[in-house]
Amino acid sequence: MEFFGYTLFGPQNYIKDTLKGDYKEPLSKKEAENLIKNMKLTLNLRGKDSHDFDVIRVIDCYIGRVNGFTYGSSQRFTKMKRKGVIKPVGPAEMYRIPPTTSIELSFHLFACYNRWRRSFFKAKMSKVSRDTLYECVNAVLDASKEKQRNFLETVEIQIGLKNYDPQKDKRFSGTVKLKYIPRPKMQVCVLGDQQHCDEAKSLSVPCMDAEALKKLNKNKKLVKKLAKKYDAFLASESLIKQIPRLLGPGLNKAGKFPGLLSHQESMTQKIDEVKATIKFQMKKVLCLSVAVGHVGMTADELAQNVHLSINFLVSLLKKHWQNVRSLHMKSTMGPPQRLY
Amino acid sequence: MADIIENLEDDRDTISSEEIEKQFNKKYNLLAETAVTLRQSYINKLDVNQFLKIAISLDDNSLEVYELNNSSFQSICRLEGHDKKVTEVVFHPKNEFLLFSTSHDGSIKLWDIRIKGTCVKEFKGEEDSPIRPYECMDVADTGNIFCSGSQLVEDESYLVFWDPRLTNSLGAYWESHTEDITQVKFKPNTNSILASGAGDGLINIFNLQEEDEDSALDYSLNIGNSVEKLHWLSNEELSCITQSNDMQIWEASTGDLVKEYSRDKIARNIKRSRDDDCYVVDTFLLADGTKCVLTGSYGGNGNTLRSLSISGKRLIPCTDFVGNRQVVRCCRYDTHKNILITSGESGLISAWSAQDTGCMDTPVDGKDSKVRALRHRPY
Repeated sequence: MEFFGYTLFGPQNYIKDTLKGDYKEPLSKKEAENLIKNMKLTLNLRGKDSHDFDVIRVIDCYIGRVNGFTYGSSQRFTKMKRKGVIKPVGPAEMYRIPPTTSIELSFHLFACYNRWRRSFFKAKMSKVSRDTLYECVNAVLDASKEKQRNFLETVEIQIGLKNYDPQKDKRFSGTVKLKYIPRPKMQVCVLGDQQHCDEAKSLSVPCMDAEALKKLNKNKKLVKKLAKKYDAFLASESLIKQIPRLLGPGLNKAGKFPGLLSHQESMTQKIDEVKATIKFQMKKVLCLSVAVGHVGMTADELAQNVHLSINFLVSLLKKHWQNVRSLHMKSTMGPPQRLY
Repeated sequence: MADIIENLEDDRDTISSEEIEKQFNKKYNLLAETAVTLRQSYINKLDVNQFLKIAISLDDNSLEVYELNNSSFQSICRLEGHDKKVTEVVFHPKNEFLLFSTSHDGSIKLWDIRIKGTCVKEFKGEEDSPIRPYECMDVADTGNIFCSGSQLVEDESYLVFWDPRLTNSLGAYWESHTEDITQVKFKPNTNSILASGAGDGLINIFNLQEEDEDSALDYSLNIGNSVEKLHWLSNEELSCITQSNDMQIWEASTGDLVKEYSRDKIARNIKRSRDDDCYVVDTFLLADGTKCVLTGSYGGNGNTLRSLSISGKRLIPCTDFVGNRQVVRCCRYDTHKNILITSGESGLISAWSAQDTGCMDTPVDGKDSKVRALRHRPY
């Protein structure tokens, strides 16, 4: 009994029924070459290699050059069969593959089932479990407690990448604001107008106004000294545009060009935002590391920062988790702990 | 707090396909498409001049030049000679046959495509200075000056200025960036205003008429992220695509941020469900002056390519490029013939032509079959 042309044992005439409707056997060398070219192209587009095409291109003293096609000649086919080179190149191009057979359970539902299974079971696949994360965080914190250092150790995560060619693929970088400040000792200086300077003074935040900047007189040494004194700068809207005019490229050179501080936002919040923001940037090698906290933090705080930064990093990668080879976290002097 | 999970949900459209057809109402047809090589190859950079000559850089350090005739691409020549990755190709604005290319090998080459496959001139730094791997370049529209931006070499990244007639550089700036300079762009129709973007998250705007770098630096715009693409949308507006696929538009004459469009906002507007699969290619101007941004999605097989028009501060769906077969890396728009040329990671160059709004009434089927007939089909 057959349903829609399929019997219990698959298609009635296996070869004929699975042949593509629009497939034409090439009858000349030129046609065959075109076909091969297109097959190679589609294979390449799918990211598969097309070595097989060249493997069976042999020269035979009876048949001549063999590329797997018989050009519709049964005589040639017999000869090729005797030589064992009848394999048509790239069968998927001739046949509807897979030629489904009804022997497989609910063959017509298979495609739907796969999609359903994917969305249902795998839509949420755990990569780093909560337990592993806390295990690593605690191990890092314990190691630092065991041997106290004379400074506050920083905790960083180190990421190894794979399936990524720095020559070919786009570079990526990105900034993310963490929930807890990873570098509490960071000094931020406000370059403000009158209103911002007053506010900064009341909050006892270091600040400078336009007059003070003018006094530096574009002197390279003084600007450099200013840049060295602080870790980051914030500037009011009116002042930020004048900074190249007032100071020259000195702050650019130090990599500390100020961020914008508008009158709508609160100054303390903005300063905390600057302190809590970290930057991921891949250079020429397949790994990167970024500071996400310090050993003075509680396990919960550290875990949340790690969680946030890993999720952000993965969103930056083109193939997401398929690009991640490894994830480690470590404190400055402690041993590394493997997360993934 | 939960586990760190992998989101395996497929990227999909958030609205139905009929709705997409309705909302993305500016239709473009695939006019021509060609594959550059049979091997899998990326096209990293592309430039098109007003005579629809197309230059592309391949990942085997070579360049190829094509010409678009009516509805097919014709290969003109293949240019070889760089030792390392070619990072930028630019046509001479005044002479359709001259082509510049920069490379990581530290040289800039000038090619004449009439004399096939030979380099006419090579611009190199002084003998004693270290090799500067160039990342980008741009030629001013007046054609008498061009600028190239280098990677970080011994803690300095250089903006080097050249005259196409001389082999020695005119001078260089190296104080304003602390990371690889990824983009330089001259303001249209001038040779004195230059925007440069770098990995340190700054766009610097220089007025080249000033005598030294200190006074030439007009504005520094803090992007907060590494610059991927810069484009002058008008004499005032500068658009910037960052490496985390956000877009910002700046007013270059006053140094104000006009608007920032984050990646999730763009993903929402092209009606895709996953914002971390969305990528932004570039901005371009249509013939009627509409500002557009070309975006796509890595999801599935990376065939989704859509454009949004920027009207005021909003993003409005513009075109859904049906029939795109690759992740697009770069695009150029030709305003004379209303043709968009795209190229990308499958090594295909595609030309998209605007569908006349006058013939919108004809049945869609007929048009589809015409597109199909013109398209290069694998089998």
